[in-house]
Amino acid sequence: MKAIIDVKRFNPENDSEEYFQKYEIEVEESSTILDALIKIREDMDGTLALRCSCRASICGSCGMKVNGSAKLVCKTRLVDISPVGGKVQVEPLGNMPVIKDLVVDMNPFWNKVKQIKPYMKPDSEPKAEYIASNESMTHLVDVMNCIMCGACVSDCTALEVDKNFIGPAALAKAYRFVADPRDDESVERLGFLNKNSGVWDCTRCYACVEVCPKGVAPMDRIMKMRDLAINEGFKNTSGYRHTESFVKSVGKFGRLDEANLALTSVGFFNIFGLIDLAIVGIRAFVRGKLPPIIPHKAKRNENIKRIVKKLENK
Amino acid sequence: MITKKYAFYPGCVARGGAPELYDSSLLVLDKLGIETIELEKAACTGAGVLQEKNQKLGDVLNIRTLALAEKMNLPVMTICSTCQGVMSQANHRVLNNPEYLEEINSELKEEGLEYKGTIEVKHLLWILIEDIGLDELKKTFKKELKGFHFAPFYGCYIVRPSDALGFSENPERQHSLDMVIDSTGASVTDFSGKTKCCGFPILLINQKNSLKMVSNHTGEAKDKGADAMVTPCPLCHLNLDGYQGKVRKDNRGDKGDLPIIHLPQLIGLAMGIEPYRLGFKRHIVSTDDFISSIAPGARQSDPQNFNIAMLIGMVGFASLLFALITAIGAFFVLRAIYIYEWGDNSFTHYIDTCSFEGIYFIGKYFCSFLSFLGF
Repeated sequence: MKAIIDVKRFNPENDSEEYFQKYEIEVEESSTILDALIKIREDMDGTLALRCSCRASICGSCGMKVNGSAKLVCKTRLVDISPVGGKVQVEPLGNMPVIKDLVVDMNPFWNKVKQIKPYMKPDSEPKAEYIASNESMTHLVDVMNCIMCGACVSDCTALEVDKNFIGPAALAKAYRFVADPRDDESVERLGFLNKNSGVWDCTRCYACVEVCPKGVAPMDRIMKMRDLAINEGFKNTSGYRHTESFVKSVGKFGRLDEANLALTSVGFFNIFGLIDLAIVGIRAFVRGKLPPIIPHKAKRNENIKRIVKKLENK
Repeated sequence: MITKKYAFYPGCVARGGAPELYDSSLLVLDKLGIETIELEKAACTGAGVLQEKNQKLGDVLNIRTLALAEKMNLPVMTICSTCQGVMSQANHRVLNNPEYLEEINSELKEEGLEYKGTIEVKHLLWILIEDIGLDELKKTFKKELKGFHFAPFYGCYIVRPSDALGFSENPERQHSLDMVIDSTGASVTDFSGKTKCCGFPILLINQKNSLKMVSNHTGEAKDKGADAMVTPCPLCHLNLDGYQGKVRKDNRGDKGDLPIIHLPQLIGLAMGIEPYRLGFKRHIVSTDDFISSIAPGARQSDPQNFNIAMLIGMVGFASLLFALITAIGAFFVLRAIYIYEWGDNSFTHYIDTCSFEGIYFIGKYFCSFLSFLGF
């Protein structure tokens, strides 16, 4: 089977900017993209730099962008990406500096993991073996599957605009300790994650869930930690007010009261925020776009009210 | 002409912050010969926000919506990527877990509803391709949009998570918007931001990050030569349209002038529907240049005049109200002065206990101020 692979190349010693290089190679029907890249390096172009080790999606070394989204190339077959002769574009992972060709500098990634203190912090030294129940641990199996390949960090849309955001991999790792019954500092951890650049900066875009090769679902863990943080009493955030107001609005009208949601999330004491909102509001009003002052209600919404009341009071 | 029938779920934003989406959708559906019954009793999907706090509540509300549609024996049509994604996810969860479905149905029993799991939720974008077909769609087009460049902006929830969205059975859904733009004869402007986040979900939480996304995406599309951006998601529209002018100047130093149009507006333009009926005047980023290049000499000003009339009306109403309150106030002030100066003792006593003195003094000073002015 013939394949055309378009590889993004960059060598800081010689190149002023990145460029794409096309390779036409003969591969097996069952070949993975990694097989093809290794063949290119071995038979055609020894200067191509790439990282790989286990070739069995265990080590997490070969994270790369394939046709725009992050993948473990050892786990991705060419035929699944593109029909015979179709386009396969391979780029280094995003949101990380490129060292050479397909090799990225993972230091920013590890620094973020270090930020969340990725080790157990019990209050006192255990006197005997700590036996955790099955129920308290089984839900953590998926998140423990993380192999730190950086795929989620590469495609995170929040990290793209804010390098300080802790990011999906480190936050998923944080959840692994927050939810572990043997750890005694979950409240302190949640307090740290509740601050700026923490759990509330996630945009809920599902990019990390989609690209994770191990089913870690970082975004779902982040949402879980938002809820846990609220339950621990960390309530002075726009994020908390936003969620709370949303649920209230649905419980009251069955629909979303956009105007009120905006006001409560910004906060009634945040003068600058309110002025900003007012400017946008006036512009929207002039264009006939302001959300209705009296929100659009669901017809005969008593059933919705009942459901919200019942399930929220649990 | 094909007649198809759907239970129509417009979503909160189409009935709130982006009414032009609702209006243009109805116009387009009418031309397509699609019959709809609006799900007026349905609740908000929760948009993922409610699910953060209480996923089961979200699922009960969404499955209730599907049960309402099942009662009518109609598939659900959405016009919002976020509604589509959230409802698809809820549907996906219960269909893969019969016990969970039973648990959810027990909450719906009181209302006499039960979901059997037969309903498919489809965005208008998918309906155009799968149920109508692009060839049939093209037959309704009267206007060739050749020469125009549109950048597709999908909205996260209509492309992720893919396992809930039926991509394996319907792989064309992954590039559905590109296909629809292509069918109008216009060119697709491909850009890296097309499936990224628009920033709307964190607009009220981290505005700086949110608006940076707006300027990145609209700027990139503009640089690649787009005349407008098309989106099937009104939430993306609100952020990309509402804040573009401000942030493009701050972040990139260029003018934020890329019109962000709704999917039905694009279809409407291709069908030759008059632009003013599609609600372009409600956009924050001006669409005037864009519209006059597509439909030279088309009437545009209808809704704008309506708004000025509304503004004048409201100002008039407010001044009438103000005059009325002033008149009532003045009446009481004068009455208090009259009673205090000339009224009989019992009345004076009554006034005293009601602490009208204050008003008396204010009134007196007010009168002396008036005389000072020469009245």
